[in-house]
Amino acid sequence: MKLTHADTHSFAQIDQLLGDYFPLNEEGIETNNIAVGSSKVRVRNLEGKFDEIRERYEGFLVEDDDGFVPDFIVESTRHPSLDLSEFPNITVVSDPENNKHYAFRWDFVARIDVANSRAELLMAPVAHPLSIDTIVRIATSFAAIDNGGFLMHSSCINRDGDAFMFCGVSGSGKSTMARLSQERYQVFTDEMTLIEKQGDGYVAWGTPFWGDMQMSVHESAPLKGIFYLAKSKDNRIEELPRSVRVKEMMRVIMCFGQEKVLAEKLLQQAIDFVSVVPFNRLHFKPEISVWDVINEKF
Amino acid sequence: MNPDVVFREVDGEGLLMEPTSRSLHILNDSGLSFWKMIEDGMTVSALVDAALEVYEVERQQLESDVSDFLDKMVKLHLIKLLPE
Repeated sequence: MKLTHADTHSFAQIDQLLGDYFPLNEEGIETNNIAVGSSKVRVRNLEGKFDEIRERYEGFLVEDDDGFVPDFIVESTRHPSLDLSEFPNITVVSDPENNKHYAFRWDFVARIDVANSRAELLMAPVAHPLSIDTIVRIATSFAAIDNGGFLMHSSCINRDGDAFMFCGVSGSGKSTMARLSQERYQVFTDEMTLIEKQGDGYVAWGTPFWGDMQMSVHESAPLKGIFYLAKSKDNRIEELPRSVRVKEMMRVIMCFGQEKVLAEKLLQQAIDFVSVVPFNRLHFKPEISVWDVINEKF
Repeated sequence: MNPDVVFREVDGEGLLMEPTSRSLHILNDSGLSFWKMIEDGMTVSALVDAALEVYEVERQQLESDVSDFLDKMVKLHLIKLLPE
């Protein structure tokens, strides 16, 4: 069975395809519970070969099934003949009326039902078990926003109990910052950080969402500062007006939804966040000495 | 006005976010006052009249500034111009 770009807007057809598989029958299902901070995602798999990738979520898996109250549920299984070769990159089509999003990629078709906090993932035969990670990220991002926080494209460093985040668009240097910091400090993540509100401030968590360094730590620390990276010839911290901080923040928050209610919530949370946590632009050259400028100020 | 656009005011600047693209646009103080007039459903010529009272510039200059501003907002899908 082959899906083409023309099919992506025929929601009824996609619903019918997914309806043959979801919700999954109970028989033969493996359940895995993934917690990043207080954002909880349950993954229910049928022939998804999750066992092969469990290692990746080590430290984030919760064995106690009964005590785990998921914010989001992801179900996945395999289709015997699904051909998605027309989608080398991810294509997302939204059905705003029903608050659902459909994602198509060479290895899967997924339906994300925001109102019911569910996602269903139908893998093509060519899919790697890790295909599910994309949907687990999306599920975690919704859970985080629900909990008043964010999942962000950002590396995160633990400087002796104080967390600092380094964010930016792809190629801006967030993993470079993580790599050069590791000789002095603990790296929570080089790719994705989860932010949660705690008391009057925020804490930053490492996540299981790997970057180049292929590492992750399920630990958190109070967030002392966040830097938007700009590669430069010298190291310098530039203060930004609140409006620009919100704008830069929006570029690096992971959020799949397109609904107005969600956008309002997200924007307000971002304004609240940049009003509390120092958010500056960091012009940096990739050397450990960049920390001298940071440590001097914070 | 695009009814889906989310608006917030922060430190005298306006933040406009269009939910589909989730890109954020910043309005400076004059942009912000224009936006508020648009929110009130003001016509383009009324907008120019109101701005003339605030800014000491030629009407012609202001007309072209306002029209540039509106064009930009239309291109970003933040507003739609209706026949007056």
